[in-house]
Amino acid sequence: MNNSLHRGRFAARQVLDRCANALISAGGVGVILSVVMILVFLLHEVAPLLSAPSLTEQGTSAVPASDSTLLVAEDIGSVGLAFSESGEARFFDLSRDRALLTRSLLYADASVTAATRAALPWGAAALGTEAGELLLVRPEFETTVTQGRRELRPSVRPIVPLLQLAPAGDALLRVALTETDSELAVAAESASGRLYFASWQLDENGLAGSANRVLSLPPGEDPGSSGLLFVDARHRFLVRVTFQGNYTVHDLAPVNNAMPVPRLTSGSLFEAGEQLTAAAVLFGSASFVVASDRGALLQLSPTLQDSGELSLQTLRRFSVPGKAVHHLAADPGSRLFAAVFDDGAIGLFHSTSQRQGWATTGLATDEITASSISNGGGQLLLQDAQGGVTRFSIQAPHADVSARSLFAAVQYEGYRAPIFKWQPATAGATYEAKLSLSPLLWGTLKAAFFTMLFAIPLALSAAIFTGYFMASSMRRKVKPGIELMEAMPTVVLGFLAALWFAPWLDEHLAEALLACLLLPVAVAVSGVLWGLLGNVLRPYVVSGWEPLLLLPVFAGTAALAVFAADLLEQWYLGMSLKDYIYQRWGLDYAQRNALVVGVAMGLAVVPTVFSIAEDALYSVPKQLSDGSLALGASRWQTLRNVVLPTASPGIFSALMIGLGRAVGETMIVVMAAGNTPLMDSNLFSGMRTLSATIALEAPEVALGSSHYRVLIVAALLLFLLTFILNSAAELLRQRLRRRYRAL
Amino acid sequence: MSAELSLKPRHLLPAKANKRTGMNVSVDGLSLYYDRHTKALDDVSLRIKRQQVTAFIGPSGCGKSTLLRCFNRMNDQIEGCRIEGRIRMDKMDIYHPRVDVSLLRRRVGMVFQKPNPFPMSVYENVAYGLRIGGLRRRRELDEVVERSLRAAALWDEVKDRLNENALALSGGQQQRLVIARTIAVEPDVLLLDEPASSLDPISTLKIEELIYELKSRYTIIIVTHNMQQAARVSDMTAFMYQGRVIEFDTADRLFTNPKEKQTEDYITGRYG
Repeated sequence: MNNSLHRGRFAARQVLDRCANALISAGGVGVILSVVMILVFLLHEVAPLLSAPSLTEQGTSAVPASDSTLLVAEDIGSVGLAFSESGEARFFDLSRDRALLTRSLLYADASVTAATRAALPWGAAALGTEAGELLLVRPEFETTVTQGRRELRPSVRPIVPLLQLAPAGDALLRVALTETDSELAVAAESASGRLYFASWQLDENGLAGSANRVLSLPPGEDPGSSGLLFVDARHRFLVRVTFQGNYTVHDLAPVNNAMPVPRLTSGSLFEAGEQLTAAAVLFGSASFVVASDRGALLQLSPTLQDSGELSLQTLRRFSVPGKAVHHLAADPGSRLFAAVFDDGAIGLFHSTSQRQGWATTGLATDEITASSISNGGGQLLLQDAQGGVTRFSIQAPHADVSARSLFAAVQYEGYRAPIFKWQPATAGATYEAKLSLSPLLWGTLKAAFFTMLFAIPLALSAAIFTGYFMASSMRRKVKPGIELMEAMPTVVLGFLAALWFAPWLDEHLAEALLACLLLPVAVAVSGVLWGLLGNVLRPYVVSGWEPLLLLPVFAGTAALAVFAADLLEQWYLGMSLKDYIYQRWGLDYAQRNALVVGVAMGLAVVPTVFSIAEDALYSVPKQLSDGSLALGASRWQTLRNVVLPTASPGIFSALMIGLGRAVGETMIVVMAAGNTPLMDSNLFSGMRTLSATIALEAPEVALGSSHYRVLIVAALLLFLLTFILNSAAELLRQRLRRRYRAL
Repeated sequence: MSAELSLKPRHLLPAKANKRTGMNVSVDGLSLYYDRHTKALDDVSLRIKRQQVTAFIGPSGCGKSTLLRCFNRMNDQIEGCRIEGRIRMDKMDIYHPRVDVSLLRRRVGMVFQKPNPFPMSVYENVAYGLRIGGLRRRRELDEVVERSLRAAALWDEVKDRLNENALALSGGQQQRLVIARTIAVEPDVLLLDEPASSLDPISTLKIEELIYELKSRYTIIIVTHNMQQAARVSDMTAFMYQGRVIEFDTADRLFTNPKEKQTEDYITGRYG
């Protein structure tokens, strides 16, 4: 009779059902979507690392004079500067073929025979004259913005007055210039073959007074025909490389009683007949690259060997397709350099990461007279004999990162051998960033390993005891108690570990280690004693609470450990255990070490592993263990043969989730691991984990920098590691469900 | 008396010397408390004979399963469970402090209400009790496994599937596998706790036939809800109510001519 009412109620219910359905679906999809979005974001931020350095041709403009020996470009690449052979500095508009300013730096009819610039952004330039004079200038570009238009007012400022370095008339044929924040050094070779060295202190305006030191060295072989001069940033070495590839390394350290004559060493870089074709000093003036007509491309750095010998270390050989290099131009702001090859190809190379990018051009490369990369690294300029300047824009924002530099050992400047190192930045502007994720990955795995080493025995034996042996009245109190530990903020654990446990362990190492050894023994002995005396003691103990009898055993063992440690250190070793470990195995003891982390993070992981493993053990059907017991199996036999195998996938999944937690855990390692990115397996040294690195560095990193992107790679690695571990755990759990569904 | 229970398990003796006929079981004044206030069995006394099937019937919660579990001391596991009185098997007091419970359970096998094969192969299920007892030699294991499966009327169905997971068998097969597993260790007494209650009629029939066949070699004690089943398989039947044995007699007499009013009410379906 009341059909409409019925239908209405039915409709309302249907709407409600649909709403609930939609809401639940939206929730589920939302969770999946947000995880996917995190992954997408991480991949999006990492993607720029993948693009290889590239070059695109931007056109050719004419320089007002074709005889320039040195080119410099302002950072956006709109203004070029050419030093002419007559000693003029000519500023010109790169995009509009227009001279902006021409200034004569020298006297009339002067002739520039050598020119170079410091391997720094906005570095100074040095010109050597036919008359043996040296000129140090600093090109400057003052930028003003008027009515939205950017105007550049270029100028050239002398740093020191014109200096007569070589005797008058002895032309300077090659100069080298090295600049740091506070110092400037010049090396020059004159036509007679003598080498000159001079250094200055720079004031805050970048000007210099009189020279600190002037040094003159006797001529070497092939006087006056060096292909490269190089002075390192510390003014310790002077390197001269001839066109035949013969090199000399001079020690510039002041001569003293121990070292009465200036030292030098020499050798050869190339095979007989191979010719040096180009050379360039890399950013920071710690190393330089040389190229030969047979396609060798080497990065070299003068060093002192362990024995104190001078040597020229080959940092790396770049793999290039055996073609002759015509020109090398180094980026003044990064360890990127461009090599112009015979056939018109241009290669971009990054020395640290060994990344390469290639462009083919139709340039007649043998006509190129000068090359340069702009101050901001954005442009490569090549000048040909006709005075045309061809510009290429360089896209290499993350050339300093490659798979090799992230995961393999890298030969850094100043190191004797390739190493794994994480040290993304220091105060120095010319620092070679060391972005190897290997020590972080290692630290993460090391922390996880020692954590699991501590947590697995504790958590599993607790789970087995609670889930299988413990009286249920006690289990009802113990299980929530242990699970409550999970609620403890890890920052509190980390704090306790770093500020209380680590110093305590530092002083009581022997006691702690002995206690670790003695406790299992003590527990086993108590078990045997209980077996013998159980019938006598049982009436005095509340049934099911017998484990509490172990408390005095623990206390006694601890006391024994303290006593025994004293004996051990005083009478047996005759020194503290830490000293003994150092002398016996050469292991250093860091206060915040893997042991501290293992214990602290172990305590954070134990509740997780315990809870899941205990559930797995407890949910083994009672009828299975009953069946085994009814066949005359003891409780241990039942545990080993029926209960553990049945619960094993659950236990394994507990371990995986625990491991996932140990890998991703952050606060404890930040506070207690010492954060030293070491790659050793020493129990007593610290480590730096991926998670701690992200936590410590992410707040301060420059957005979009290579360091930032590498931190994102670290995050991605961490994400993948925990994702794989958790997925494996989940797969196992589902297999368990399928396997025991029939029960 | 208890000394006999610490003898070598009998399956390790040569098979010929092993002509079994079961044990007589006597229960005297047995009371069982789950805790201070809950009395599950109240002064139970019974004489159970070898080579007979004895059935316990009664409504749910009457204590028949509890009584059954006293015979292999499965109640020992229950925290706070206490027992008074005595159970003797061929004159050995099974609650004597020096009795090895594991050995007792080898001689008093038990089959549970729900089939509970272990999550291992058919073969390993049957061999489990023997391996636990320390038997390692493959040939002997093979022999006992085949003999037990034949005795449980399962051999023909599983002989080609010995290495398959036992959980893949049907419910009836699983229950017969559990029986095979139990008789593999050659017990004297077989306790069956509602062995057919979760099975279909055909499987139930097979189990009942099996019980009939095993009777000649064991003392069989069966708990069942199903009065027809008790009438069909048992020689002696005990009717229990609220922890006490109300009537214990031959099955014929108990079902056709009960002495007690409560028994009659139960078997005629007035309660339970």
